[in-house]
Amino acid sequence: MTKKIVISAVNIRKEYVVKKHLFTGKIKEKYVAVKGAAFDVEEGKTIGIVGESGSGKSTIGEIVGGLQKPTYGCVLYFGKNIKELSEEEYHDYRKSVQFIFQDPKGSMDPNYEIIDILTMPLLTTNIAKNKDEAEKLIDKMLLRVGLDLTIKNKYPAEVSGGQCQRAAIARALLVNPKLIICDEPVSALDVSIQAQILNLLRELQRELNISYIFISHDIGVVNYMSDTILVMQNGNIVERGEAKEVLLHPKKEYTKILIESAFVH
Amino acid sequence: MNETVVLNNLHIKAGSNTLVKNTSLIINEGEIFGLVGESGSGKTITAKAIINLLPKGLSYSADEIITAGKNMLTASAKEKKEHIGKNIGYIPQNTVFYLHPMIKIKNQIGDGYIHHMNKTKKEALEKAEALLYKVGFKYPKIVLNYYPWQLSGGMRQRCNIAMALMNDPKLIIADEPTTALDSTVQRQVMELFRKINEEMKLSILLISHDLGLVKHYSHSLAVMYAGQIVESGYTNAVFSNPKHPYTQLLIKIIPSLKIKKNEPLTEIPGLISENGRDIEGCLFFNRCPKAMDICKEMVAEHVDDKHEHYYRCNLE
Repeated sequence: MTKKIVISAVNIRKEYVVKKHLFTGKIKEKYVAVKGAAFDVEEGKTIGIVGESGSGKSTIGEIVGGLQKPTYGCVLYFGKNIKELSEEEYHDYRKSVQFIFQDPKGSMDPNYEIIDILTMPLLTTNIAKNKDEAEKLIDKMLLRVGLDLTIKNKYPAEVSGGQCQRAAIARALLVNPKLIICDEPVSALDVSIQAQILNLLRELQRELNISYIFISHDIGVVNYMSDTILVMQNGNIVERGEAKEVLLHPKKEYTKILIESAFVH
Repeated sequence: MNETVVLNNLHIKAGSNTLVKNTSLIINEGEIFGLVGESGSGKTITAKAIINLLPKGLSYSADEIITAGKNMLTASAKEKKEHIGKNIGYIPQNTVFYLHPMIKIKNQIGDGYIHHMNKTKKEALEKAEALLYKVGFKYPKIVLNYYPWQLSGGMRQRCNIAMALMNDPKLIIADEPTTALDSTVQRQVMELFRKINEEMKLSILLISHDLGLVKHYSHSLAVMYAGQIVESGYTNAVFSNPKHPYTQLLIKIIPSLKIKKNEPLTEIPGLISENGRDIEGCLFFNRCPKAMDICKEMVAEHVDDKHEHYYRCNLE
């Protein structure tokens, strides 16, 4: 049986314009964040991306999730180029690819209660027809991610970082995604909370058969979460392979340095 | 061996709410002392009590606070300020806000030196140049002419370290010095700490939540939980035989490279408690996997014969 590929990135390159000529608009200086990346994400599998800051990890995540457009190359969603999707298909793609960000409080509007933040995606995607229906789904999901229902009427600033990250996971899961892009989901959290969140993500994957793109600079965490690993340096993928193979027998000098500096034992 | 810091039975309160209680620690001369704990466990305010920098609104009491050879409890405010300015260096977590963004490095790096040591600016700049070279800048003169925002996070942290070294302090307090930095830069900065510790025989109080890091670099350590030290001792002794369940869990919780994919990570359920820290029993009680009924009422303290390993738990 062939495995289903949810998303593939085909030779993605991303350039940012640093300096433009004032009148002609001619590009004087540009910064290349990603210099050609290609990978496939299979259904129910996790792909881990490690590297220093500035190596282009997050840019890749954002391009795959449709938040940014690549300068060259394309993203395929179930084999179709996302630029050529019909409107309906595009909505389906944006719904199926969700994000979890590093700073849980920064990713939620501080002016809304948690319940409002969670209701919005349900109504815009027509999964729930009205607020009551949405609330039923939300109740179920909040319990699933291990939150108390009293949290619904609190503002993001009133809950702890770990609880907020759980709510963010609930928000991502509510719309039945096929892929979640986790951009440093635990690096802002305490070590004891980190383990809880990682276990939750693993459980949900087993239950719902979701794929993850897991971006982190913590090698130990990436190793625990991922099936395959990409190591990035200066916008290039310098090493890739099965998680265990890459981390126990690194071939590139850069990977060795990353592993050494992580103090994992 | 001489002690740089002696802290005995420290209590810190915000109004009627206890934040830190019964905290005692000794930092010997020339050692790196790691203070580990989750956020909210009272690491930073303990360190701030040592250097008399507690925020207003917090009251503290202690049997003994001796910082670099001076009793902080009997000294006057002016004496404290002078003594701490000369003998203690402080390195913050946030590299951005510690340096003034609109003033060139050369105009701010020597301020403490000029103020406390009665030196001229020329002398300060000479010293700064030598120190910047020591912390790894090949061309310190160029760095002195930069504004802080022209430097990267790692470079700024090096400047902070150089700045902390200006007065030849006896103790450096590094409050999560590498949390805001990348893992590769973190290693460089930590190696630098080790180098200055060895070369200049400085004591360093390293505050961190990363047990892996503290294991690697400290000579002795203390684990804090909810405002109490639950385990302390020489790093080797603690890691070879962790006694307190919290320490055991903290060690287990870090995903290692040898972990099997299918087994879930050990987790510590629940959250650190913010209130009710003045009870007699164990504060870790409701999160502890090995909790017994007696833990609610009292906790036994254990110290081994050579004073190498201390822990407070009812388990033997």
